[in-house]
Amino acid sequence: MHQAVFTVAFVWMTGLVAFLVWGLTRARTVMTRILILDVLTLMLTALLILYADATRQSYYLDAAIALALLSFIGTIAAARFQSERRLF
Amino acid sequence: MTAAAPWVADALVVLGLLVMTAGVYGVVRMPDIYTKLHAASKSVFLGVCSLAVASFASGDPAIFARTTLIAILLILTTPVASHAIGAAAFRLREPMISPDAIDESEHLPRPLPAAAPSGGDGRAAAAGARISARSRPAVK
Repeated sequence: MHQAVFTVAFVWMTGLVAFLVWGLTRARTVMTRILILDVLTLMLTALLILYADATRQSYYLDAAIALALLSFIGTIAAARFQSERRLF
Repeated sequence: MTAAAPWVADALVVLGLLVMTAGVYGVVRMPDIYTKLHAASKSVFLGVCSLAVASFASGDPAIFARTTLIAILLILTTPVASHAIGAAAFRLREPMISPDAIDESEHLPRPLPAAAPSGGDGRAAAAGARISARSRPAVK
């Protein structure tokens, strides 16, 4: 990946994350907030992948794996607890 | 192959960026949660997968083994998480406010538990009850 593409992509994705946070403040229901937080962690995973790819360092990807798994667990726990009032 | 690899990576990153932009815009702008889920679970996820494939061009096994693992994890977990969100929203009777919304499920959602939280503000829950009472066919 070339440096110019990396810079543009990184700035653009940071703008997307900011746009999502703005959408999070406008969300009307709790489930919408859970959904947008899920998408937000997905975007952060993508940012980590991009950064690790550009700097050729793999440590960031360990954090990306942890973030992907945690967002999955957190989303399911939050959605189930919101609708069923219990987890299991 | 080696000379073309950075350009292929550039193209994949730009493709993932476009797909993710469409997805994020859809998540923020779609009218209700059921349509937001389309943008969240397909577009953003596929954009991340495109970025993961782009990292293959770096040629570092430590990087592309991990990005492959991330892509596989996302392929497995994104549908489950999206289904959990959709099922919870249906159970909480979130309204379908997109035009021409059709609820083809043959049953009403199970009754909420006693100390159930409302799915947002009371106005949205009331609108959801009204819409679901009108648009669902009577169960024989």
